[in-house]
Amino acid sequence: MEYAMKMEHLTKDFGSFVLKDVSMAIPGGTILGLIGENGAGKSTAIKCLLGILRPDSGSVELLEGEGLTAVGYVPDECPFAGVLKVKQVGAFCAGLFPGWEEDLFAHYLQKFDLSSGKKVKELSRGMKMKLTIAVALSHRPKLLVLDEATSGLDPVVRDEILDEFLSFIQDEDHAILISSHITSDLEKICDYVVYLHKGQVTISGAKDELLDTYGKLNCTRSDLLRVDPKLIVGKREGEYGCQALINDRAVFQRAYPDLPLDTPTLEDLMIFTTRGDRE
Amino acid sequence: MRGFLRRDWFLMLPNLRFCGVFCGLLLLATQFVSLTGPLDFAVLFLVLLGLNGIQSLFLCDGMNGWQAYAAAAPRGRGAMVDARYLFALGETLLLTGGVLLVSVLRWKGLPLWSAGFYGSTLLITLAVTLPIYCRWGGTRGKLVSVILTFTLLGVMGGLSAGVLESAREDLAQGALRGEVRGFFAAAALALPLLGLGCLALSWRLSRRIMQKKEF
Repeated sequence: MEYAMKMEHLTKDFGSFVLKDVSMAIPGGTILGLIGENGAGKSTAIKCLLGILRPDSGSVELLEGEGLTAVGYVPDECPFAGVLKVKQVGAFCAGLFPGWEEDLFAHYLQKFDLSSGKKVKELSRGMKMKLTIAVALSHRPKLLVLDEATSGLDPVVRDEILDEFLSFIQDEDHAILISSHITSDLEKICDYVVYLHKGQVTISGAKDELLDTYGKLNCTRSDLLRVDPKLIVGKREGEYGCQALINDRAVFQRAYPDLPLDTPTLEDLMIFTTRGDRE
Repeated sequence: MRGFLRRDWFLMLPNLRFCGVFCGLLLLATQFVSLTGPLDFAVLFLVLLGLNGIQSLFLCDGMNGWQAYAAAAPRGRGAMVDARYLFALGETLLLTGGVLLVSVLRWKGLPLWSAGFYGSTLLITLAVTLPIYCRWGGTRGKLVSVILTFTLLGVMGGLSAGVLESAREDLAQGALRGEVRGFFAAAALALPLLGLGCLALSWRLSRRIMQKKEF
C-alpha cells in the first residue's frame, strides 16, 4: 500500500470559515500529525475525510479504494451512551464493523483494564477514550483516524495510548492520522506533520526535515534587528531578550554565523507562525 | 444494520421493562375492576410512551455525537435510518399486541378494533415525526414533533369523537349499530395500511435526509 489516505485540494466553505485547498497524504506504515490552533480546521478536515461532512470540492481516497471498511475512527468525545455497559458496546459494534473480532476486543479490554460489566458513564474520560480506541482497533483497521483523542488525558494514560499507536504502526499496511493540540505527543510519534492555520495548510512535510529546516533564534533585540525579515517566520520580543523562528536554517547560518540556532519544537512552529501571521 | 438495531434495543431496555410492568399491572387491573375511563388514558399513555421512546433515542444520539460517529461507519448513514424504522415498526407491533391482549381479556370498553386504531395512530405519528428527528435531531425535533403530533392526534380524535361516542352508547347496550360497526371495520382495515404506507414514504424521506446530512 503506497498511501493509506490521499486528500487533494479539499475545500469546504461554511461562510464564516473556509477550509481551503487542503492536500495531504499518509504513506503506509507512517503516522501523520495534524496540528493547528482551535478552529484551524483540523476536525473539519477529518470529517471531510470520513464523509461526515461533504466537501465542496477536492477529493479523498481512502486505502486505495477500500473506503471506510478498514478505517478506525476515534472522535474527541466518547460516542457511546452512558447507560450502555462496556460489553453491550462490544455487542452492537460487532454488527457495525465488518471484520470485528470479539477476542481482540476482549484482549483490549483486558489490556486497558476496562471492566465489561461497567456502564460507560462510570468510566473516567481516559477510560472512555481507551474504550473508543479498543473499539476502533477491534475490527482490524488499516487506517486509524484520531481527532483530539489524547486531549484532556493525564500524561500516564497518554503515554500508554501513544505506545499502543506505535505498536499498531509496526505493520507497514497500517497508518495513523492524529490531530492534537498537544504537540509534544505528536513530536514523539509522528513521521509527518501538517500544520493547519485558518483553514489552510501552512507547513507540511516530514517531521524531522521540518525541524531541521526551521531554526529557533534566541538573541538580543539589536541582533534581531540585523536579521533579514524574510528569514523570520515570527518573533517574540521580551524584556530580557528576543526569540524568532527562522524559516531556513542553512541560509541563516551562512548569513549570520555568529548567531546560534536551536532546534525548534512543533509548538514553536505553531506559535511563531501564528504570531507572524498576526504581525 | 444489525449493530444499530442492537444499540437501540440496549438503549430502550429500561423503557421496555417499565412498559412491561405497566402493561402487566393494567392487565391485572382489568381482571378485577371496570376501568373504562382510566384504561382509555392508559392506552393513550402507552402510545405516547412509544413516541417518547423513539424521541429519547434521538436525544441520546445528539448527546453523544453518535450520528457523526455512525456516519463514519461503513454504510452507516443508511443503516442508521433502517434500524430506527425497524425499531419503530417493532415497537408499534408490540403496542398493538398489548392493546389487543387487553381488549381480548375481558375489558368491555375496549373493542378489538381499538388495537388497530391505536397501532395505526402510533405508526402515522412516527411516520411524521421520524424524518423531523432525522433532520433536526432529538432536541430541536422535539418541539416540531410535539406540535405536529398533537395536531394530528387532535384531528384524528375530532374526526372519530362523534362515532366513538355513539359506539360507547351502543356498547353499553351490547352491540354496535350497523353504520358505526361499518365505520370501525373500514377504519380498522384502512388505518394500518395507511400507517404502513406513510411509514414507507417517511423511511424513503429519512434515508434521503440522512444521506445528505452533515454532522
